[in-house]
Amino acid sequence: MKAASLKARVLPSLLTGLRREPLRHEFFLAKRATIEEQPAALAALSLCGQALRFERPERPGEFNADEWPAEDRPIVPSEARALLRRLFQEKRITADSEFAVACALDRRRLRPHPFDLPRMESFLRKHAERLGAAAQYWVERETPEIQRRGYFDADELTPANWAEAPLARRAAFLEGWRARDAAGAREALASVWASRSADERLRLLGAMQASLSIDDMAFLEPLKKDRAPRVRALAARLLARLSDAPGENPALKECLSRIERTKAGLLRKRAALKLTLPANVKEPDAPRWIAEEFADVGLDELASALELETAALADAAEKDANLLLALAMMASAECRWTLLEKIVTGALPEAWGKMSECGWSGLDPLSPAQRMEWAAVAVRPQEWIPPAGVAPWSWLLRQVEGLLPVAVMDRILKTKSFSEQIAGEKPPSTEWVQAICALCPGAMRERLSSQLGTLERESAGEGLLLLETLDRLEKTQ
Amino acid sequence: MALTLDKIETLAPDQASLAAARKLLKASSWPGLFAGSDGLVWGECQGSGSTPYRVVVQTEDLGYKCTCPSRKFPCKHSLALMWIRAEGKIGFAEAAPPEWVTDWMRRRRSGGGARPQGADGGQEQQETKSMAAALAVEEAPADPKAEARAAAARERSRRDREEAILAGLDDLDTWLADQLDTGLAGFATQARKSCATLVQRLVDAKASGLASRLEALPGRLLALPEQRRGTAAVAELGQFNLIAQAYRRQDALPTELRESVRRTVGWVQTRNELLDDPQARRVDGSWRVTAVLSEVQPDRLRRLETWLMREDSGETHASAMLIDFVPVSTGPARSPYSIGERLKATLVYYTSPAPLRAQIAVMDSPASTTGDAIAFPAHSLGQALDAYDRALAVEPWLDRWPLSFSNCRVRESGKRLWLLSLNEDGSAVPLSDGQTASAAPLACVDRLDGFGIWNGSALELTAAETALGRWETQ
Repeated sequence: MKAASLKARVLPSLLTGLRREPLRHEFFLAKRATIEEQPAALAALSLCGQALRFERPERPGEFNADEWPAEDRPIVPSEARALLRRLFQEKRITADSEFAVACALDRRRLRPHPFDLPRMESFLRKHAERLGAAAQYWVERETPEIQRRGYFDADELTPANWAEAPLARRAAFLEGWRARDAAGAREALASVWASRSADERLRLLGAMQASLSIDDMAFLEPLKKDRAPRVRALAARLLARLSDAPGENPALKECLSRIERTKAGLLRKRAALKLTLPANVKEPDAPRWIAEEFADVGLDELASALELETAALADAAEKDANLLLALAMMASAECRWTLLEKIVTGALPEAWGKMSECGWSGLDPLSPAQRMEWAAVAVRPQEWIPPAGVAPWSWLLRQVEGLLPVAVMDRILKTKSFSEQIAGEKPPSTEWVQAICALCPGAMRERLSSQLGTLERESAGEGLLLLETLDRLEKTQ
Repeated sequence: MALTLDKIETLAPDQASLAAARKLLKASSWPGLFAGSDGLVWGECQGSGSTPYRVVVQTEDLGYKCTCPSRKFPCKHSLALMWIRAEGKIGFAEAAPPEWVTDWMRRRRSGGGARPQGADGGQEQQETKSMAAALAVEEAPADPKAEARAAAARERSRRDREEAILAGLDDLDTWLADQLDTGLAGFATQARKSCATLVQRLVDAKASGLASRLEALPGRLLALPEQRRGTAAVAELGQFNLIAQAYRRQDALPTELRESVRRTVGWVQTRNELLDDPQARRVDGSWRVTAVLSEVQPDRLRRLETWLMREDSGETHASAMLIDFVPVSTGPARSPYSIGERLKATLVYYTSPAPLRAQIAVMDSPASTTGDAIAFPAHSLGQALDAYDRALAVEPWLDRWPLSFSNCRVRESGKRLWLLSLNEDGSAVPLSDGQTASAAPLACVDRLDGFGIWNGSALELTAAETALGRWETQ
């Protein structure tokens, strides 16, 4: 009996059960001629089973369409790849390290090796937009087609494809477009505005600050009623910047009701401002309340309402840390570096620390270059450095999207407080070390590395590996 | 800190460890001994398993690491390596540390080497240890009468076991007949319960190999798509009957098949017995590691498999599989080898019509990392499957078989990945379901040459060379 006929005649009985479907007569005839010392049913089982084992799988009739996207970015070179693999094998790698690696890959326009994607699943899910089209494809491969966002990572953005690019690149492109053709960029933004998320709207509206003119008013006016409070606030600030922007700002009214204006000074009277917190806001919650309360208020309109020059606001509020913090937030969001510098060099050097306490997101609309300028002004380690904990550094890392200005890092490394944290009785946590390493620009890595070299591997192992990885990525040609 | 015999003596956990270490002082136990800079020495020591243990010692601070599963620290291998180094009778070749050594160096805490016990508290040592005592220990002279008694006892035990196994096989027949009466279409759903009783019976009958195979069966069936479980049950249970029939008639079988069926049922051939067998097939050459697998068995032993492929053999099949069993709680979690490593060795195969499992008889040069791509034989997937068919024809209870192939690609059909031959034969095999994610990136390359382990229904791809470099299973 041939294998095919054996399968056709015997297999149904074996599957259904011999009690219900006994073996057919011809099998016994065939069987008797070959195997004589075992029950026919068991012989049938072995013969049929072995025939099945020789069957080869049937090639599928059709395959899924090839979906791997074409990718412009080069793959990370092998040395950097080996370091990346080591880094992601570490069990204690922090979100800060992952963020720094994602930013470094994005800056160098590199992509992870495709074979490493399964090992980096959680990293990719968090940072796919910075890692190229293949990474975006990878994280969406299980998503039903109808819900996919699509993946896009072209090297060159054009007016035709800009709206599909990752947010950071979209914002940068829009900013450049505004400089060349303000009206064209505004119309392009208006055409895609309705379909964008709150975060996207905020970031793209931030890009509109470039070449802001009276022609933008018709676009900005309706945004005062946007669904997202942060978008409303930014629209209000932009409108306030336009000289003949009309209308009342209810948020301003609310703020003014809590600011008391008095006179101070014995010989020369000058204005003094004091912010009164609501009774139900305790001091630790003050930064959050301030961030929310002053989000919709522009510096100029506040100064005008208080009948002061904008530059004089800091002097008038010098005795009130809460009001100074509010002014620092407004100055940061509006890129008023002179005013910000006045605040942080004087009474409130810990302004950025307080901003981090409430997770302030007012820098979101700023471009990467503006954020670096902000960091150079706001972070003054010689006057204040977070005494402990990793949270302020993590927040700072996300504001500067990777690296601090060299001068700022240089000052951090020289501070006594930093040295004490390194050489203290209790070694610093790996989370703290990784956050500092993630912030460290290339020019300062060697110095930081030698300072951390005195620590046990328990503290500094992952941090040093991160430094080496970032360095290797940045030196990639 | 200079390495001295006194320090080693202090470091040893007990006298028995020193005595055991003494037996490893001969050069033949160490296929390679190497020394690097800064007091680092390392080597591979052939233990009782098929895979040599990797031992490294930092002589400056007496830090050590060994891949053996011993619960004693330091183990006899580490002690022996220190001892050899301290004595200086055997030469160490100067070499750059291989990756497993540098990896250990990187991971160990600075200055965290082992502190010699007793260095500051010798009173804590409850046992006096002495190298002299270890050296003085001589093998007790053999007593001919005792040996004869032991041999007779062994023969009695063997006969008892043969009888027990045959009784167990009768129970297997009855159980199989019962399953056939009911039908195998729904066997998989109640397989765990159904198999459990017979597994126990086969364990009692000392047919441990057959018991393990049956114990793993429900999991294998349930891992398949539902529509294939019925026919898979027929194929799997058919093998149990084949094994039983072959075992009963083993005297009429050719030697290779007889040895194979006895091992399948549960008889064990020790490493020494295998090495002493002049008939066992020996193959020397340069081997590349093509797969390293780790699996925890139901008996809480971890099964570590290292698959090797002989370079430049030109044969469709030139593979070997080394197996080690280590306790889950104390042993290493993975094979000490890494995919792509090259070693030169003579392997000796367990006797079988389709030889696969082997032991390292002589290690000419220990495994070392190399940047060379693995040169998989220029055989199509179809030819590799033909070789599987030939092996299955001569060893009908064959479980898994290595496939090495070239000129293939991976594509997705539905939720499943397939390996497709780009040659005219048009062969295709599905990849195992567990690789749906890890092998998915291979779909982005147009061609690959590779190696995998085929179980008759799915291929576990373990290594592939592509235009983007080497892909390895995770």
